[in-house]
Amino acid sequence: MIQMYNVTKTYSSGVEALRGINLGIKKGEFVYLVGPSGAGKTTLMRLIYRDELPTSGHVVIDGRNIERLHESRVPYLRRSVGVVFQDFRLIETKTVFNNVAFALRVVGAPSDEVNEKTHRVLEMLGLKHKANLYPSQISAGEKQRVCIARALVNDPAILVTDEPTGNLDPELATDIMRILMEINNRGTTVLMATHNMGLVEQFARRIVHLVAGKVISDQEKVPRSAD
Amino acid sequence: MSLFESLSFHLREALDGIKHSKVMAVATITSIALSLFVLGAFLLFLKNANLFLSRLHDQYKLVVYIKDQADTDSVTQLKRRFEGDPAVESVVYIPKEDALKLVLADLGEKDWIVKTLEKNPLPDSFELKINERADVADLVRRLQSDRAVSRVSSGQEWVAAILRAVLLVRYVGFALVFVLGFTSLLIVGNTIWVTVYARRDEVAIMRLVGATNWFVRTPFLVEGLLTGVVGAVLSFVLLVVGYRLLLGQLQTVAPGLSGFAGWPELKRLGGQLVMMGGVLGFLGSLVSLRRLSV
Repeated sequence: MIQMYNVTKTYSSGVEALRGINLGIKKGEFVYLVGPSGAGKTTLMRLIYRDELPTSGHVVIDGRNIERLHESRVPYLRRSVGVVFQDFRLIETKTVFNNVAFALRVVGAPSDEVNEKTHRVLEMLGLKHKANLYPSQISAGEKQRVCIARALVNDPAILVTDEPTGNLDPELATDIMRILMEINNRGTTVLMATHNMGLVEQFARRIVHLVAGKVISDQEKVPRSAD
Repeated sequence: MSLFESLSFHLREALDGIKHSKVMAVATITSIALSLFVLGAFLLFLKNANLFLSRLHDQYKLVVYIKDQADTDSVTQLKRRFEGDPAVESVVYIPKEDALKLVLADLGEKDWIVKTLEKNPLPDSFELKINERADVADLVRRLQSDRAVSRVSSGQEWVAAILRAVLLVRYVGFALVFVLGFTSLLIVGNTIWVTVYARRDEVAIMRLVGATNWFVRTPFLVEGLLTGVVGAVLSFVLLVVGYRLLLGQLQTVAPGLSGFAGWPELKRLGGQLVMMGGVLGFLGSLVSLRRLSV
Protein backbone atom coordinates (compact mmCIF):
# COMPACT_ATOMS: atom_id res chain seq x y z
CA MET A 1 0.00 0.00 0.00
CA ILE A 2 2.83 2.40 0.91
CA GLN A 3 6.37 1.95 -0.42
CA MET A 4 9.36 4.23 0.08
CA TYR A 5 12.63 3.54 -1.73
CA ASN A 6 15.76 5.30 -0.51
CA VAL A 7 13.81 8.48 0.19
CA THR A 8 15.56 11.66 1.26
CA LYS A 9 13.99 15.01 1.90
CA THR A 10 16.02 18.19 2.29
CA TYR A 11 14.11 21.45 2.78
CA SER A 12 15.20 24.65 1.04
CA SER A 13 16.50 25.85 4.43
CA GLY A 14 19.05 23.04 4.22
CA VAL A 15 17.42 20.93 6.94
CA GLU A 16 17.70 17.22 6.11
CA ALA A 17 14.40 15.84 7.35
CA LEU A 18 14.68 12.30 5.92
CA ARG A 19 17.73 10.28 4.92
CA GLY A 20 17.66 7.07 2.93
CA ILE A 21 14.26 5.83 4.10
CA ASN A 22 13.20 2.38 2.89
CA LEU A 23 9.78 1.40 4.13
CA GLY A 24 6.98 -0.89 3.04
CA ILE A 25 3.52 -0.92 4.63
CA LYS A 26 1.02 -3.57 3.56
CA LYS A 27 -2.70 -3.11 3.06
CA GLY A 28 -4.57 -3.31 6.37
CA GLU A 29 -1.49 -2.81 8.55
CA PHE A 30 -1.40 -0.54 11.63
CA VAL A 31 1.99 1.12 12.02
CA TYR A 32 3.24 3.47 14.72
CA LEU A 33 5.82 6.04 13.72
CA VAL A 34 7.76 6.99 16.83
CA GLY A 35 10.76 9.13 17.55
CA PRO A 36 11.77 12.44 19.11
CA SER A 37 10.61 15.82 17.79
CA GLY A 38 12.40 16.67 14.55
CA ALA A 39 13.00 13.00 13.72
CA GLY A 40 11.09 13.38 10.43
CA LYS A 41 7.76 11.76 11.34
CA THR A 42 5.60 14.60 10.04
CA THR A 43 7.69 14.97 6.85
CA LEU A 44 7.32 11.25 6.14
CA MET A 45 3.55 11.53 6.54
CA ARG A 46 3.35 14.63 4.35
CA LEU A 47 5.01 12.64 1.56
CA ILE A 48 2.18 10.10 1.78
CA TYR A 49 -0.55 12.67 1.04
CA ARG A 50 1.84 14.50 -1.28
CA ASP A 51 2.02 17.69 0.67
CA GLU A 52 5.74 17.40 -0.01
CA LEU A 53 7.84 15.70 -2.68
CA PRO A 54 10.99 13.70 -1.92
CA THR A 55 14.33 15.30 -2.82
CA SER A 56 15.47 11.88 -4.04
CA GLY A 57 14.14 8.32 -4.01
CA HIS A 58 10.61 7.17 -4.75
CA VAL A 59 7.32 7.15 -2.86
CA VAL A 60 4.60 4.85 -4.19
CA ILE A 61 1.09 5.14 -2.70
CA ASP A 62 -1.47 2.53 -3.68
CA GLY A 63 0.45 1.91 -6.91
CA ARG A 64 0.92 5.62 -7.75
CA ASN A 65 4.39 7.15 -7.85
CA ILE A 66 3.84 10.55 -6.25
CA GLU A 67 6.72 12.32 -8.01
CA ARG A 68 5.25 11.40 -11.38
CA LEU A 69 1.70 12.32 -10.37
CA HIS A 70 0.45 15.30 -12.35
CA GLU A 71 -0.60 18.30 -10.21
CA SER A 72 -4.19 17.93 -11.42
CA ARG A 73 -4.30 14.31 -10.12
CA VAL A 74 -3.13 15.19 -6.58
CA PRO A 75 -6.68 15.85 -5.25
CA TYR A 76 -7.66 12.33 -6.36
CA LEU A 77 -4.72 10.80 -4.44
CA ARG A 78 -5.74 12.77 -1.35
CA ARG A 79 -9.26 11.39 -1.53
CA SER A 80 -7.84 7.93 -0.90
CA VAL A 81 -5.71 9.13 2.04
CA GLY A 82 -7.54 10.37 5.15
CA VAL A 83 -5.45 12.75 7.27
CA VAL A 84 -5.89 13.46 10.99
CA PHE A 85 -3.90 16.32 12.51
CA GLN A 86 -2.86 17.03 16.06
CA ASP A 87 -4.20 20.58 15.70
CA PHE A 88 -7.46 19.27 14.12
CA ARG A 89 -7.51 21.80 11.24
CA LEU A 90 -11.26 22.16 11.16
CA ILE A 91 -12.94 24.97 9.24
CA GLU A 92 -14.14 27.26 12.04
CA THR A 93 -16.95 28.76 9.95
CA LYS A 94 -18.59 25.39 9.25
CA THR A 95 -20.63 23.24 11.59
CA VAL A 96 -19.41 19.80 12.68
CA PHE A 97 -21.74 18.26 10.10
CA ASN A 98 -20.50 20.50 7.29
CA ASN A 99 -16.83 20.01 8.20
CA VAL A 100 -17.31 16.27 7.71
CA ALA A 101 -19.73 16.52 4.78
CA PHE A 102 -17.30 18.81 2.98
CA ALA A 103 -14.94 15.90 2.28
CA LEU A 104 -17.80 14.14 0.48
CA ARG A 105 -18.98 17.23 -1.40
CA VAL A 106 -15.44 17.67 -2.69
CA VAL A 107 -15.69 14.32 -4.49
CA GLY A 108 -19.04 15.31 -5.98
CA ALA A 109 -21.19 12.91 -3.95
CA PRO A 110 -24.96 13.50 -4.34
CA SER A 111 -26.79 15.19 -1.42
CA ASP A 112 -28.54 12.01 -0.26
CA GLU A 113 -25.24 10.17 -0.03
CA VAL A 114 -23.57 13.12 1.72
CA ASN A 115 -26.32 13.21 4.37
CA GLU A 116 -26.42 9.47 4.88
CA LYS A 117 -22.66 8.90 5.12
CA THR A 118 -22.01 11.96 7.26
CA HIS A 119 -24.70 11.00 9.77
CA ARG A 120 -23.40 7.43 9.84
CA VAL A 121 -19.78 8.42 10.55
CA LEU A 122 -20.85 11.03 13.14
CA GLU A 123 -22.90 8.36 14.88
CA MET A 124 -19.98 5.93 14.79
CA LEU A 125 -17.79 8.53 16.51
CA GLY A 126 -20.46 9.57 19.02
CA LEU A 127 -20.89 13.03 17.54
CA LYS A 128 -24.42 12.95 16.21
CA HIS A 129 -25.74 15.30 18.92
CA LYS A 130 -22.95 17.80 18.10
CA ALA A 131 -23.68 17.93 14.37
CA ASN A 132 -25.01 21.49 14.34
CA LEU A 133 -22.35 23.01 16.59
CA TYR A 134 -19.31 24.94 15.39
CA PRO A 135 -15.74 23.79 16.26
CA SER A 136 -15.44 26.63 18.79
CA GLN A 137 -18.41 25.14 20.68
CA ILE A 138 -16.97 21.63 21.23
CA SER A 139 -14.15 20.15 23.32
CA ALA A 140 -10.67 19.15 22.12
CA GLY A 141 -11.56 15.45 22.22
CA GLU A 142 -14.65 16.09 20.15
CA LYS A 143 -12.68 18.17 17.67
CA GLN A 144 -10.25 15.28 17.25
CA ARG A 145 -13.16 12.93 16.61
CA VAL A 146 -14.59 15.37 14.03
CA CYS A 147 -11.19 15.38 12.35
CA ILE A 148 -11.20 11.56 12.30
CA ALA A 149 -14.78 11.56 11.00
CA ARG A 150 -13.76 13.86 8.16
CA ALA A 151 -10.79 11.63 7.32
CA LEU A 152 -12.98 8.51 7.32
CA VAL A 153 -16.15 9.64 5.62
CA ASN A 154 -14.74 8.91 2.16
CA ASP A 155 -13.71 5.35 3.15
CA PRO A 156 -10.02 6.03 2.45
CA ALA A 157 -7.65 3.15 1.86
CA ILE A 158 -5.06 4.82 4.10
CA LEU A 159 -5.48 6.81 7.29
CA VAL A 160 -2.54 9.01 8.27
CA THR A 161 -2.70 10.44 11.79
CA ASP A 162 -0.14 12.88 13.16
CA GLU A 163 -0.15 12.86 16.97
CA PRO A 164 -3.92 12.37 17.12
CA THR A 165 -3.87 12.08 20.90
CA GLY A 166 -1.31 14.84 21.51
CA ASN A 167 -3.81 17.38 22.81
CA LEU A 168 -6.02 14.98 24.73
CA ASP A 169 -6.17 13.69 28.29
CA PRO A 170 -5.35 9.96 28.81
CA GLU A 171 -8.97 8.83 28.90
CA LEU A 172 -9.85 10.62 25.65
CA ALA A 173 -6.59 9.41 24.11
CA THR A 174 -7.60 5.80 24.85
CA ASP A 175 -11.02 6.44 23.28
CA ILE A 176 -9.40 7.78 20.12
CA MET A 177 -7.05 4.76 20.02
CA ARG A 178 -10.00 2.35 20.24
CA ILE A 179 -11.63 4.17 17.34
CA LEU A 180 -8.44 3.95 15.26
CA MET A 181 -8.11 0.23 16.06
CA GLU A 182 -11.71 -0.35 14.98
CA ILE A 183 -11.08 1.50 11.72
CA ASN A 184 -7.99 -0.65 11.15
CA ASN A 185 -9.97 -3.82 11.90
CA ARG A 186 -12.33 -2.84 9.07
CA GLY A 187 -9.40 -2.98 6.63
CA THR A 188 -8.03 0.57 6.50
CA THR A 189 -4.25 0.89 6.57
CA VAL A 190 -3.36 3.18 9.50
CA LEU A 191 -0.11 5.07 10.01
CA MET A 192 0.09 6.94 13.30
CA ALA A 193 2.87 9.27 14.43
CA THR A 194 3.05 9.53 18.22
CA HIS A 195 5.18 10.39 21.23
CA ASN A 196 2.88 8.52 23.56
CA MET A 197 4.78 5.29 24.29
CA GLY A 198 2.16 4.30 26.86
CA LEU A 199 -0.45 3.99 24.13
CA VAL A 200 2.02 2.23 21.83
CA GLU A 201 2.54 -0.42 24.50
CA GLN A 202 -1.15 -0.63 25.40
CA PHE A 203 -2.26 -1.07 21.78
CA ALA A 204 0.72 -2.99 20.48
CA ARG A 205 1.32 -2.95 16.72
CA ARG A 206 4.25 -2.61 14.32
CA ILE A 207 6.58 0.23 15.41
CA VAL A 208 8.87 2.16 13.06
CA HIS A 209 11.39 4.20 15.04
CA LEU A 210 12.82 7.33 13.39
CA VAL A 211 15.79 9.31 14.66
CA ALA A 212 17.34 12.26 12.78
CA GLY A 213 15.56 11.31 9.56
CA LYS A 214 16.61 7.65 9.60
CA VAL A 215 14.77 4.44 10.45
CA ILE A 216 16.72 2.99 13.38
CA SER A 217 14.34 0.12 14.11
CA ASP A 218 11.27 -1.56 12.66
CA GLN A 219 9.60 -3.98 15.11
CA GLU A 220 6.64 -6.26 14.48
CA LYS A 221 4.39 -6.67 17.53
CA VAL A 222 1.53 -9.05 18.05
CA PRO A 223 -1.67 -7.29 19.14
CA ARG A 224 -2.51 -7.89 22.78
CA SER A 225 -5.70 -9.75 23.42
CA ALA A 226 -6.79 -6.97 25.83
CA ASP A 227 -7.38 -4.42 23.04
CA MET B 1 -23.59 15.81 -7.57
CA SER B 2 -25.94 17.15 -10.25
CA LEU B 3 -25.28 20.50 -11.89
CA PHE B 4 -28.07 22.11 -9.87
CA GLU B 5 -26.74 20.62 -6.63
CA SER B 6 -23.25 21.78 -7.51
CA LEU B 7 -24.40 25.33 -8.32
CA SER B 8 -26.51 25.61 -5.20
CA PHE B 9 -23.61 24.23 -3.11
CA HIS B 10 -21.16 26.82 -4.46
CA LEU B 11 -23.74 29.58 -4.00
CA ARG B 12 -24.32 28.52 -0.38
CA GLU B 13 -20.56 28.35 0.19
CA ALA B 14 -20.17 31.86 -1.25
CA LEU B 15 -22.99 33.26 0.93
CA ASP B 16 -21.47 31.44 3.90
CA GLY B 17 -18.12 33.05 3.12
CA ILE B 18 -19.73 36.50 3.06
CA LYS B 19 -21.63 35.78 6.30
CA HIS B 20 -18.50 34.66 8.13
CA SER B 21 -16.22 37.46 6.94
CA LYS B 22 -18.65 40.34 7.10
CA VAL B 23 -15.99 43.00 7.68
CA MET B 24 -14.03 42.01 4.61
CA ALA B 25 -17.22 41.66 2.56
CA VAL B 26 -18.23 45.19 3.58
CA ALA B 27 -14.71 46.43 2.70
CA THR B 28 -14.91 44.78 -0.73
CA ILE B 29 -18.43 46.06 -1.40
CA THR B 30 -17.43 49.58 -0.32
CA SER B 31 -14.31 49.61 -2.47
CA ILE B 32 -16.27 48.37 -5.50
CA ALA B 33 -19.11 50.85 -4.81
CA LEU B 34 -16.70 53.80 -4.53
CA SER B 35 -14.69 52.82 -7.61
CA LEU B 36 -17.84 52.37 -9.67
CA PHE B 37 -19.36 55.56 -8.28
CA VAL B 38 -16.38 57.55 -9.60
CA LEU B 39 -16.49 55.65 -12.90
CA GLY B 40 -20.29 56.03 -13.13
CA ALA B 41 -20.16 59.76 -12.35
CA PHE B 42 -17.61 60.21 -15.09
CA LEU B 43 -19.66 58.16 -17.57
CA LEU B 44 -22.72 60.25 -16.72
CA PHE B 45 -20.77 63.47 -17.27
CA LEU B 46 -19.54 62.05 -20.57
CA LYS B 47 -23.09 61.13 -21.58
CA ASN B 48 -24.35 64.63 -20.83
CA ALA B 49 -21.41 66.25 -22.63
CA ASN B 50 -22.11 64.04 -25.64
CA LEU B 51 -25.82 64.86 -25.58
CA PHE B 52 -25.04 68.59 -25.46
CA LEU B 53 -22.48 68.42 -28.25
CA SER B 54 -24.68 66.16 -30.39
CA ARG B 55 -27.52 68.66 -30.13
CA LEU B 56 -25.22 71.43 -31.30
CA HIS B 57 -23.95 69.21 -34.09
CA ASP B 58 -27.51 68.31 -35.20
CA GLN B 59 -28.32 71.99 -35.58
CA TYR B 60 -25.26 72.63 -37.72
CA LYS B 61 -25.60 72.67 -41.51
CA LEU B 62 -23.21 73.63 -44.26
CA VAL B 63 -24.91 75.59 -47.06
CA VAL B 64 -23.52 75.38 -50.58
CA TYR B 65 -24.88 78.08 -52.93
CA ILE B 66 -25.07 77.34 -56.65
CA LYS B 67 -24.12 79.80 -59.35
CA ASP B 68 -27.10 81.17 -61.30
CA GLN B 69 -25.47 80.19 -64.57
CA ALA B 70 -24.80 76.61 -63.51
CA ASP B 71 -26.54 74.08 -65.77
CA THR B 72 -28.71 71.15 -64.58
CA ASP B 73 -25.98 68.63 -65.38
CA SER B 74 -23.40 70.23 -63.10
CA VAL B 75 -25.98 70.54 -60.30
CA THR B 76 -26.88 66.83 -60.64
CA GLN B 77 -23.17 65.98 -60.68
CA LEU B 78 -22.61 68.04 -57.55
CA LYS B 79 -25.48 66.23 -55.78
CA ARG B 80 -23.99 62.84 -56.74
CA ARG B 81 -20.63 64.02 -55.44
CA PHE B 82 -22.17 64.91 -52.07
CA GLU B 83 -23.94 61.58 -51.85
CA GLY B 84 -20.71 59.74 -52.42
CA ASP B 85 -18.63 61.86 -50.05
CA PRO B 86 -17.95 60.17 -46.69
CA ALA B 87 -17.70 63.61 -45.04
CA VAL B 88 -21.35 64.27 -45.87
CA GLU B 89 -23.98 62.58 -43.74
CA SER B 90 -27.04 63.83 -45.64
CA VAL B 91 -27.84 66.29 -48.40
CA VAL B 92 -30.97 68.32 -49.17
CA TYR B 93 -31.42 70.31 -52.37
CA ILE B 94 -33.25 73.63 -51.86
CA PRO B 95 -34.34 75.29 -55.12
CA LYS B 96 -34.42 79.09 -55.09
CA GLU B 97 -38.29 79.06 -55.01
CA ASP B 98 -38.32 77.04 -51.80
CA ALA B 99 -35.61 79.27 -50.33
CA LEU B 100 -37.77 82.28 -51.03
CA LYS B 101 -40.79 80.69 -49.36
CA LEU B 102 -38.68 80.04 -46.30
CA VAL B 103 -37.46 83.63 -46.20
CA LEU B 104 -40.99 84.96 -46.59
CA ALA B 105 -42.23 82.73 -43.83
CA ASP B 106 -39.40 83.97 -41.62
CA LEU B 107 -40.16 87.62 -42.34
CA GLY B 108 -43.90 87.28 -41.57
CA GLU B 109 -45.57 90.72 -41.77
CA LYS B 110 -42.40 92.29 -43.09
CA ASP B 111 -42.42 90.12 -46.22
CA TRP B 112 -43.09 93.24 -48.32
CA ILE B 113 -39.35 93.87 -48.19
CA VAL B 114 -38.79 90.91 -50.51
CA LYS B 115 -42.10 91.18 -52.41
CA THR B 116 -41.08 94.57 -53.79
CA LEU B 117 -38.17 92.96 -55.62
CA GLU B 118 -38.72 92.17 -59.28
CA LYS B 119 -37.06 88.80 -59.24
CA ASN B 120 -36.06 86.16 -56.71
CA PRO B 121 -32.57 87.20 -55.50
CA LEU B 122 -31.86 83.89 -53.81
CA PRO B 123 -29.75 81.15 -55.44
CA ASP B 124 -30.36 77.39 -55.50
CA SER B 125 -28.51 75.68 -52.67
CA PHE B 126 -27.62 72.43 -50.97
CA GLU B 127 -27.87 71.96 -47.21
CA LEU B 128 -25.31 69.44 -45.99
CA LYS B 129 -25.21 67.66 -42.65
CA ILE B 130 -21.58 66.95 -41.93
CA ASN B 131 -20.15 63.77 -40.47
CA GLU B 132 -18.69 64.26 -36.98
CA ARG B 133 -15.29 63.01 -38.07
CA ALA B 134 -15.10 65.11 -41.23
CA ASP B 135 -12.51 67.82 -41.77
CA VAL B 136 -14.86 70.78 -42.40
CA ALA B 137 -12.14 73.19 -43.58
CA ASP B 138 -10.92 70.68 -46.16
CA LEU B 139 -14.47 70.01 -47.39
CA VAL B 140 -15.14 73.77 -47.76
CA ARG B 141 -11.87 74.19 -49.69
CA ARG B 142 -12.79 71.37 -52.04
CA LEU B 143 -16.29 72.75 -52.64
CA GLN B 144 -15.12 76.27 -53.35
CA SER B 145 -13.04 75.02 -56.25
CA ASP B 146 -16.13 73.53 -57.96
CA ARG B 147 -17.32 75.43 -61.08
CA ALA B 148 -21.00 75.27 -60.13
CA VAL B 149 -20.49 76.60 -56.58
CA SER B 150 -20.72 80.32 -55.94
CA ARG B 151 -20.17 80.37 -52.17
CA VAL B 152 -20.01 78.06 -49.19
CA SER B 153 -21.43 79.15 -45.88
CA SER B 154 -19.52 77.11 -43.34
CA GLY B 155 -20.98 78.88 -40.32
CA GLN B 156 -18.94 80.28 -37.49
CA GLU B 157 -15.54 78.98 -36.48
CA TRP B 158 -16.94 77.62 -33.24
CA VAL B 159 -18.97 75.01 -35.11
CA ALA B 160 -15.81 73.31 -36.28
CA ALA B 161 -14.51 73.62 -32.76
CA ILE B 162 -17.61 71.78 -31.51
CA LEU B 163 -16.98 68.92 -33.90
CA ARG B 164 -13.43 68.70 -32.61
CA ALA B 165 -14.70 68.83 -29.03
CA VAL B 166 -17.12 65.92 -29.69
CA LEU B 167 -14.22 63.77 -30.82
CA LEU B 168 -11.92 64.93 -28.04
CA VAL B 169 -14.51 64.21 -25.32
CA ARG B 170 -15.02 60.73 -26.76
CA TYR B 171 -11.33 59.82 -27.07
CA VAL B 172 -10.34 61.30 -23.71
CA GLY B 173 -13.46 59.69 -22.24
CA PHE B 174 -12.52 56.23 -23.49
CA ALA B 175 -8.98 56.62 -22.18
CA LEU B 176 -10.17 57.80 -18.77
CA VAL B 177 -12.77 55.02 -18.50
CA PHE B 178 -9.98 52.54 -19.24
CA VAL B 179 -7.65 54.08 -16.62
CA LEU B 180 -10.42 54.30 -14.00
CA GLY B 181 -11.50 50.72 -14.75
CA PHE B 182 -7.93 49.47 -14.36
CA THR B 183 -7.46 51.40 -11.10
CA SER B 184 -10.74 49.96 -9.79
CA LEU B 185 -9.55 46.47 -10.70
CA LEU B 186 -6.33 47.01 -8.70
CA ILE B 187 -8.17 48.37 -5.64
CA VAL B 188 -10.80 45.65 -5.71
CA GLY B 189 -8.18 42.99 -6.45
CA ASN B 190 -6.18 44.00 -3.37
CA THR B 191 -9.22 44.04 -1.10
CA ILE B 192 -10.26 40.59 -2.29
CA TRP B 193 -6.67 39.37 -1.93
CA VAL B 194 -6.81 40.30 1.77
CA THR B 195 -10.11 38.38 2.08
CA VAL B 196 -8.69 35.27 0.44
CA TYR B 197 -5.42 35.58 2.39
CA ALA B 198 -7.36 35.69 5.66
CA ARG B 199 -8.94 32.38 4.67
CA ARG B 200 -5.78 30.65 3.40
CA ASP B 201 -5.97 28.02 6.19
CA GLU B 202 -9.46 27.13 5.04
CA VAL B 203 -8.14 26.83 1.48
CA ALA B 204 -5.30 24.57 2.68
CA ILE B 205 -7.79 22.30 4.49
CA MET B 206 -10.00 22.10 1.40
CA ARG B 207 -7.01 20.96 -0.63
CA LEU B 208 -5.95 18.42 1.96
CA VAL B 209 -9.32 16.68 1.81
CA GLY B 210 -8.94 16.38 -1.96
CA ALA B 211 -10.68 19.46 -3.38
CA THR B 212 -9.63 20.27 -6.92
CA ASN B 213 -8.37 23.78 -7.62
CA TRP B 214 -11.64 24.75 -9.31
CA PHE B 215 -13.66 23.37 -6.43
CA VAL B 216 -11.69 25.63 -4.07
CA ARG B 217 -11.83 28.62 -6.40
CA THR B 218 -15.51 28.54 -7.39
CA PRO B 219 -17.03 29.77 -4.08
CA PHE B 220 -14.49 32.62 -3.98
CA LEU B 221 -15.31 33.55 -7.57
CA VAL B 222 -19.06 33.46 -6.87
CA GLU B 223 -18.40 35.53 -3.74
CA GLY B 224 -16.43 38.05 -5.81
CA LEU B 225 -19.23 38.19 -8.38
CA LEU B 226 -21.92 38.72 -5.71
CA THR B 227 -19.99 41.40 -3.81
CA GLY B 228 -19.22 43.08 -7.14
CA VAL B 229 -22.90 43.18 -8.12
CA VAL B 230 -23.98 44.43 -4.66
CA GLY B 231 -21.26 47.11 -4.76
CA ALA B 232 -22.41 48.15 -8.25
CA VAL B 233 -26.06 48.41 -7.16
CA LEU B 234 -24.95 50.54 -4.21
CA SER B 235 -22.86 52.80 -6.45
CA PHE B 236 -25.84 53.17 -8.82
CA VAL B 237 -28.19 54.17 -5.99
CA LEU B 238 -25.64 56.77 -4.79
CA LEU B 239 -25.20 58.02 -8.33
CA VAL B 240 -28.94 58.40 -9.00
CA VAL B 241 -29.47 60.25 -5.69
CA GLY B 242 -26.43 62.49 -6.32
CA TYR B 243 -27.46 63.18 -9.93
CA ARG B 244 -31.03 64.13 -8.95
CA LEU B 245 -29.72 66.49 -6.29
CA LEU B 246 -27.29 68.06 -8.76
CA LEU B 247 -30.01 68.51 -11.43
CA GLY B 248 -32.28 70.05 -8.79
CA GLN B 249 -29.55 72.56 -7.92
CA LEU B 250 -28.93 73.32 -11.61
CA GLN B 251 -32.63 73.97 -12.21
CA THR B 252 -32.58 76.51 -9.40
CA VAL B 253 -29.50 78.27 -10.76
CA ALA B 254 -30.45 78.09 -14.46
CA PRO B 255 -34.15 77.21 -14.87
CA GLY B 256 -34.01 77.11 -18.69
CA LEU B 257 -31.48 74.28 -18.89
CA SER B 258 -32.80 71.03 -20.36
CA GLY B 259 -31.82 68.01 -22.37
CA PHE B 260 -29.90 66.20 -19.63
CA ALA B 261 -29.54 62.43 -19.55
CA GLY B 262 -32.79 61.04 -18.17
CA TRP B 263 -34.05 57.77 -16.67
CA PRO B 264 -33.52 55.64 -19.85
CA GLU B 265 -29.84 56.66 -19.93
CA LEU B 266 -29.54 56.13 -16.17
CA LYS B 267 -31.05 52.65 -16.48
CA ARG B 268 -28.58 51.79 -19.22
CA LEU B 269 -25.74 53.10 -17.06
CA GLY B 270 -27.07 51.03 -14.14
CA GLY B 271 -26.92 47.91 -16.29
CA GLN B 272 -23.37 48.73 -17.36
CA LEU B 273 -22.28 49.35 -13.75
CA VAL B 274 -23.79 46.05 -12.56
CA MET B 275 -21.97 44.23 -15.34
CA MET B 276 -18.72 46.02 -14.52
CA GLY B 277 -19.20 45.27 -10.81
CA GLY B 278 -19.71 41.59 -11.52
CA VAL B 279 -16.68 41.45 -13.81
CA LEU B 280 -14.55 43.45 -11.33
CA GLY B 281 -15.49 41.16 -8.44
CA PHE B 282 -14.96 38.01 -10.51
CA LEU B 283 -11.62 39.13 -11.99
CA GLY B 284 -10.49 40.54 -8.63
CA SER B 285 -11.09 37.15 -7.03
CA LEU B 286 -9.45 35.28 -9.89
CA VAL B 287 -6.31 37.45 -9.78
CA SER B 288 -6.13 37.18 -5.97
CA LEU B 289 -6.49 33.40 -6.09
CA ARG B 290 -3.75 33.19 -8.71
CA ARG B 291 -1.48 35.38 -6.57
CA LEU B 292 -2.03 32.96 -3.69
CA SER B 293 -1.38 30.02 -6.06
CA VAL B 294 -4.89 28.65 -5.50
